[in-house]
Amino acid sequence: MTATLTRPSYGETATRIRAHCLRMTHNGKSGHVGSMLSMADLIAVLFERILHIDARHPRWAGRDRFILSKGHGGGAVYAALAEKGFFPKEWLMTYYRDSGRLSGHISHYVPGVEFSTGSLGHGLPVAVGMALSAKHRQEKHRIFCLVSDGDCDEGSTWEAILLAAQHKLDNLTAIVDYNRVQALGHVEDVLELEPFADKINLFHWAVKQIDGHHYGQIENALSQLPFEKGKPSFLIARTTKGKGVSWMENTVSCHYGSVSDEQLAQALMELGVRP
Amino acid sequence: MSDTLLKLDMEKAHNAIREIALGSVANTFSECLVRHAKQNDRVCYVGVDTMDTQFKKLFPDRAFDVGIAEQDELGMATGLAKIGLIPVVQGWSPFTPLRNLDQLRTYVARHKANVKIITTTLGLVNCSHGTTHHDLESIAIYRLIPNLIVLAAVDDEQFRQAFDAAMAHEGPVVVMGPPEIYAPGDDGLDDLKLRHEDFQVGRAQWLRRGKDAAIFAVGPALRYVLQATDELEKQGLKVSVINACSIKPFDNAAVEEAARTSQVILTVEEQTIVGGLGSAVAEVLAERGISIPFQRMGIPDRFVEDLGDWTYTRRTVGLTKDEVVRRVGELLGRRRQG
Repeated sequence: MTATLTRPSYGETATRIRAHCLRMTHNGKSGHVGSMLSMADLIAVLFERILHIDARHPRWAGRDRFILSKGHGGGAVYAALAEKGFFPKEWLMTYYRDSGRLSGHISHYVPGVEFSTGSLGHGLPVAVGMALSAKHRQEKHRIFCLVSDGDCDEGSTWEAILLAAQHKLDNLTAIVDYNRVQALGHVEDVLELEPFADKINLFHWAVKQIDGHHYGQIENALSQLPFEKGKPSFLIARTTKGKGVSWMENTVSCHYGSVSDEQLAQALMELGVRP
Repeated sequence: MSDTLLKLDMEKAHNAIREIALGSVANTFSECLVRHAKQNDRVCYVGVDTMDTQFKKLFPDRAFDVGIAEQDELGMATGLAKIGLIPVVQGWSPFTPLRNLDQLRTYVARHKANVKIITTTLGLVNCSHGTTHHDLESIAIYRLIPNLIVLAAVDDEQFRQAFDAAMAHEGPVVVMGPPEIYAPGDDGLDDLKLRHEDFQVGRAQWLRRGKDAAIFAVGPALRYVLQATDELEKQGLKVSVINACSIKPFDNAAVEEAARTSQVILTVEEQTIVGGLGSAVAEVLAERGISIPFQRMGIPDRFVEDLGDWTYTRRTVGLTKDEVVRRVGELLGRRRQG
């Protein structure tokens, strides 16, 4: 299959997502913005091009299912859903606020969100169940699950990896936002996952590795699913935590730290966005 | 990134997480851990992507981090204990005990493994993070497990005492430390200014004594219970406040004394009312045939989905000082009618 052309709007969408996340976390005095920034480009391509979803019919039976297993990054998905019209953009500033529409970790009560997560390692097992059911019912929609590297510390993720291969779930795609930074340390210092691709390959998934900030690579990979018939697809997207804000990039502190007024202004300037 | 910048980044990250995960007790936790490790070379630390950097600097060969893997954390802690070490496990509730209940029950407790589990996010303190981060079940769950000692500290000083008591015991102990309330809201976080006697496993702490009502409370609920009793005192009512700092073994005698010396009993907890502190008190009253107006105040049998800061979130489930005042009034009304 020939590679599709990169759509020029991905960068603009990703920038809007990043700006929303910075404003939301600043306004809600919350953390996790680094985790949102690292996945913004993946989310932009998924929601602009790859996912077959419809804001007018968020529960349309034939829709693709997208589960965010790294629930703390929910702000980025909320931003994408708002941009797509699943709910009013005004909701974004209720993130982490009293009686807010948008809870800190992603919530299935928000239109467009399939499943609530926040406790890591839960997304992929649920995605496997969805994929298995879809296969059983001969439904054509696809299931996507975005996990963090921290998710892959949890045993439940590996149980799901085993099961997906056992049932040859080639309607399932797992994407790892592989920024190599966890809550309190770098992956190599906490629980090394390498050789990651080799491990997943041996678990009988079809594996690809890409630059998770290169729109062409993201689109090409996710436009050619499954990677291999009869196997679930595993996309390792190498990303940078805090991507887009120079002083956040690749830092551990951007996981939990919140953004001050001054930092917000600086970050938006770096993104080329009006405060 | 240069080594210097890396070190600064990690320090910043650790300070942020220490405030969130361990909160006000972060420094106390480190101090207790290091003190015991200096006294006893079998004491080690097990984190769940939460390495205590101070401990690691001093005792690098006794500092373990399993990553985000709660089941593995208790499994390997049991193994460490079986071969003579004394693991102090930093658990992050509700994930501990929800995700590793089997390991807690069947490995740690059943084998009476000398493991100390420290958690510090009891109740609704994670408020706007969402339901996945609310610890509403710990007390009920821990009560179910045999061989387990379960303690709850109201502030730093009591945490230190509870930690020492845990280390003095040969066997598994859970210490639920005073939580960091990162978004307190209007209620604020006044210093409780409590005076503590020596901590005793199996003994409740009488913070106040009064003849009109007795309120058993635990953890973060003690803040607004104490505020409520101030209000009740203005109405001329004298209220006992009992800090249920020893959940297991439970101070049954304190329940009997409360029933003898007060007109009514209320329990208050930022936990489900099913199976927690309220149930513990109800069990004593029922089995000993004590007839007294009684109510449990806690989270109703549902998830808490209307979120905001701690004050706002508690208000949505009726866990406020005003509601405590109202309930005491209601109970006293029943007493008068009875």
